[in-house]
Amino acid sequence: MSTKKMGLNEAIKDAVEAMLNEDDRVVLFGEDVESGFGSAFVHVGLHDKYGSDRVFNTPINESLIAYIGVGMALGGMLPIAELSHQDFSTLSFDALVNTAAKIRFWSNGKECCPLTFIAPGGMGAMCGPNHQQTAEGWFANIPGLKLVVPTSPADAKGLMRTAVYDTDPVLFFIPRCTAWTPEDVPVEQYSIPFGQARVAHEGTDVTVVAWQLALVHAMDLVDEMAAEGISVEVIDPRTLVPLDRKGIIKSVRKTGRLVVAHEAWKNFGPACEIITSVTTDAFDALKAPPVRVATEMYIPSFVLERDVAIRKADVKLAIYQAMGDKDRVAEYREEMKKIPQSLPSSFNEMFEGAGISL
Amino acid sequence: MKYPKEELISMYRAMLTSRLFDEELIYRNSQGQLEGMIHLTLNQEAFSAALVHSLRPEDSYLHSHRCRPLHLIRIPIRVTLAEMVGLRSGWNGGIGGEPHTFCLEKNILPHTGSLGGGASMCAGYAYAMKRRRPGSAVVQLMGDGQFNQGMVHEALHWTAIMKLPMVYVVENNKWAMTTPDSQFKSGDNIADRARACGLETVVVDGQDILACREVADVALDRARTQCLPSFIEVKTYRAGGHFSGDTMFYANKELHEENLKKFPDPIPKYEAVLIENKVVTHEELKKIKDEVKKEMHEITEDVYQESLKLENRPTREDIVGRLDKLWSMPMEGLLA
Repeated sequence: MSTKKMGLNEAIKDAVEAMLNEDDRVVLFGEDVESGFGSAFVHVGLHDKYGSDRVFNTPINESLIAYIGVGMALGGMLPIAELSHQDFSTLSFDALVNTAAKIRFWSNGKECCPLTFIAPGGMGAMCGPNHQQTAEGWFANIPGLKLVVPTSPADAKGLMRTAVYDTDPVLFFIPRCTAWTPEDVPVEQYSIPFGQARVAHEGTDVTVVAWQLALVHAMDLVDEMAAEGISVEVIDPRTLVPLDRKGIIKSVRKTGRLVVAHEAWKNFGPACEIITSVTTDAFDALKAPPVRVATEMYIPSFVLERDVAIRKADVKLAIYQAMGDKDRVAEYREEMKKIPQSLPSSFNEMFEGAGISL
Repeated sequence: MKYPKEELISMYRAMLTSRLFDEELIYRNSQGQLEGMIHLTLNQEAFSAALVHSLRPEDSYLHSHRCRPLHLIRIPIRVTLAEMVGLRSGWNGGIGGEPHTFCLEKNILPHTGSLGGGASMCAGYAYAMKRRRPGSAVVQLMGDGQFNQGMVHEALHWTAIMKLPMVYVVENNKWAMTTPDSQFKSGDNIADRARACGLETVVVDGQDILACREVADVALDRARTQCLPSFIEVKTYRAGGHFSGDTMFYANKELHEENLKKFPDPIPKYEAVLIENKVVTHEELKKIKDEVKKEMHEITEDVYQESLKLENRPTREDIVGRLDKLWSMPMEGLLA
């Protein structure tokens, strides 16, 4: 199987381009999709190739963007509606929550709404508290929606294809942190089924369930934890709805310890659901209380975001906590006060990719 | 007259069916026989009865709360009523209820729960129709209450930008549930606001079914042949409450009476036209009334009898836990 080095953005564009090519029901529209600015530069070049019939800008109307997507989906198309920031989905909430999510229910299972709603989120926009929240926690609570949180470029490509051809409304929430981090991505087109977690790294001592920025941190930690004698298993759920509870529980049954890390807000967040699943079905397997890592404050503007984002050190501390090593936890808390801000290497690449120099 | 005799009579029958259906429902609802959120079209029947005759099967529509003639076409009336009162034999198994009954195979779109978004949804649907079913039109009806939503203006604007085969209709009936228009409209300027969004607009007397018909025909043809959106403001007045059982205790009585005079009942008004133009005789009109009344009585009685048997209602087990009514399957094992 031949592969090509791509970041997440390019991998998604690759999948979208193939679908625009093969299926005339597919249309892509939203905020600044023609230039590619809107989605943090995912779709650069698609408008030039497919024209305004298939790829077009909309007014800055997030409610309109989502609702016309619902209408197109009901009208037999496969729309990809796009916002420039997940934060703005508040204005799309009615279309997604009150209408798209209920089409199947209202019609007693007869009709469906195959809308794909894509929006970037998370650290990297440097635009403050209204531009870089991640919104998965807001929508995971809505029955009838599916929720994809890809991290690796290869996953994003396969999940994007599944999302567009899926008959349900799918929220495809992409991270900024892996937008330009090149990875080997298969050249051919493929679909990755929803609800199947990926074991990003095998380990035996502690399970870390993480996606997007938190997953980047977890993967960065694997080797240094191993050097300290802690074997970390990293699980990337890839989709939150449906959630691969069985896959997560299987891992926890092996390790007996659980950390859930994400960029979304902590209280009532996705980690709560995952931890509840584990404590309900695999309480007997747990050797220690599960630990959460999540964003605990709104994100300030510009470079200050780096001081508030969840850090590699936060995930590391959580692993020590899950391991139950109180001395090491206390010691590491002291160390954390001294260490400079720790950012995954992809951050700088991301800014460079976007033409921003720090 | 411009339209053939059969069509003139059919338009009369559509108004009458709407009125007598509503009256049967008001009575049965007051007797505790048929329960549901029953929104009434009283005094507003003319426009949608006309529209029923302008529409072709391939045209799509999203109904409002007050366009009963449209609720009673394409799906058998008894099936629609069964849906309204939550019976298994309803079009959507009794799940949707009155405003949310929809049927894509017959080109009836779903009414959104919160108001306003339907205008944008229809715009997206019209975009799909422009590409996938050229030559067909999409119509959305709404009240002047819904028209205030920001999303409506976004949608109007976008259909004008994109040149979509869309007809927006506002039934300007001076009420938004229990709020009078003095509290939600700054002047009676609905068509002006639509024009500002770039649409061709027309204002029509909602008590005159023939005027309504001409306006609807032109707008639909404009959508079908030129792929351009239009906006129709229908001046009318809501004679009854928001729903069956609402006595309008909140209304200013003098103003209410004044408006009822200003917007007289469209049915006798049209009867006079039909008689004057020798389309029908008084005897023929009476015969039609008797037929429709009998038909509406039989349908509502039939559905009432059906509703008395519990086995005709969806059970908790039919709904709770039925994940296949929320998502495409398989989702088993993936949810808690």
